[in-house]
Amino acid sequence: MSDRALLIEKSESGGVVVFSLKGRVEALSAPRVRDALVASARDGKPRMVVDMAAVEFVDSAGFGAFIAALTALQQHQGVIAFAALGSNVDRTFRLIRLDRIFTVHPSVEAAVAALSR
Amino acid sequence: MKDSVTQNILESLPTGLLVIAPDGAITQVNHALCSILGHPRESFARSGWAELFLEPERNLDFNQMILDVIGGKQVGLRRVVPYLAPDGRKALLSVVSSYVQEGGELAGIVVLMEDVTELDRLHQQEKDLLAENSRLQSERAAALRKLAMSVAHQVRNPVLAIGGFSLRLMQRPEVDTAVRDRLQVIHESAQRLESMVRAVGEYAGIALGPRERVGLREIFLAAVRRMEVVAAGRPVRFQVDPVEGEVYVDPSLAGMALTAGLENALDFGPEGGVVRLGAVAEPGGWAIEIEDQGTGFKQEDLPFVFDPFFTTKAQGVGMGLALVRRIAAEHRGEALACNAERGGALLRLVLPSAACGLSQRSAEMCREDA
Repeated sequence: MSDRALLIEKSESGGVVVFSLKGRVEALSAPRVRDALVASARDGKPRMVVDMAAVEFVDSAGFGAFIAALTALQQHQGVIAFAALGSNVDRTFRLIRLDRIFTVHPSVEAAVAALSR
Repeated sequence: MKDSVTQNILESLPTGLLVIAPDGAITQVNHALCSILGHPRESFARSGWAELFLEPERNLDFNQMILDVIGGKQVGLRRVVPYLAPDGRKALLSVVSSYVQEGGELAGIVVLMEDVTELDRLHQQEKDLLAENSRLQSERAAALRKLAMSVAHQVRNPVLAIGGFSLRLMQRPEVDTAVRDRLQVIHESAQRLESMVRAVGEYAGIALGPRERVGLREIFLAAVRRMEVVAAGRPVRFQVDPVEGEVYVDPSLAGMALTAGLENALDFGPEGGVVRLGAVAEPGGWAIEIEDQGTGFKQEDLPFVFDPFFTTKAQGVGMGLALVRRIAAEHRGEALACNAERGGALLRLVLPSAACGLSQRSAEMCREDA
């Protein structure tokens, strides 16, 4: 297991920061995701979308990191939405009811549009 | 069956039960589950799994179990996972989870769990106790071996002196016959004592060296070659059964055990008889058999034949079979003595072909015979 297994790309669209993840979000790589999200909020860019289209796998440490990021972002009035979940991740979000904790959108564009309003 | 009856049964189960519906709602929990997880029943009615259990860096294995069931659509996934309850109580849970489908569609996720913390603690306690006993036994055995080797070393020199000087005195021309006869007794006793000291030193000095895979035929033929020298001039024939197996042993110790076993057969077999050396497969190893055509072991002797210094020979130290058993034990094998169907003595030396212990079947075969 290596944190190199996850690539994080950052871009901006309509005042919303989009984090595009590629690979596996697991024990070693998850803290990088959490830290990137929290750093963005601290830098005054609290509206964020996490593009999950290229995420192959998320383990319990990965989901825990999303929760940790959410808790930290709330202190900075941050908002986070997930977009373009793959079928496996989408099934997991639904069955453990993560979709009641996080806002989920079918596409990055839809998520950006929702956060830009 | 009425729903109320089913509900009553589920509530009475000692096993915790949790059911997640296809929309993620937790639709069923029983009393045992609430107690095991330390969550009040009401909390399940309002929440999904993530809201209840997903926290950063907490209960990672517990949560991973449900993620793996969902991700792999697994049925009967069984895991033992640690769990930290909301009140800080640490537990070990045995969990079986299933992604249940009907007609290709998800019907629900069923999670059954038991708190095995106490069971695990008892197992661990038992393991620790066994390990401690084993350590103490090893220490005691090592101390005894050291003592035996020290005694053997200290006794050897005086014994050699007694034997040597008694011989020199016997050879003096002025010594009369009566004194010479007494000196002869002293000399023979010293020689016997010397043999015993050598045997004790050899027994105490046994230490398992590097093990390797060795062909049975190879060690059989080497042992027979040694024995043919020992038995030179005696009308005895060694018969090696055709066997194509391997044992995982210290070759030097295995050879020593075979030699000791064959020497025993040689001593008790009849003149002109055949000593058979063969092997039968055992689970995880081989039972090497040494069979002679003598009168066999006496039933009353069987419990003692492996004891150090036990011998029925007029001239003998009685360490041969003790050596065989010791070497077998060093390999986590077993040495067993019984009488063969044809009446002769049968020694079975069970040795592993990999890393295994005593073959129960071999032990039972000899017990039945005894």
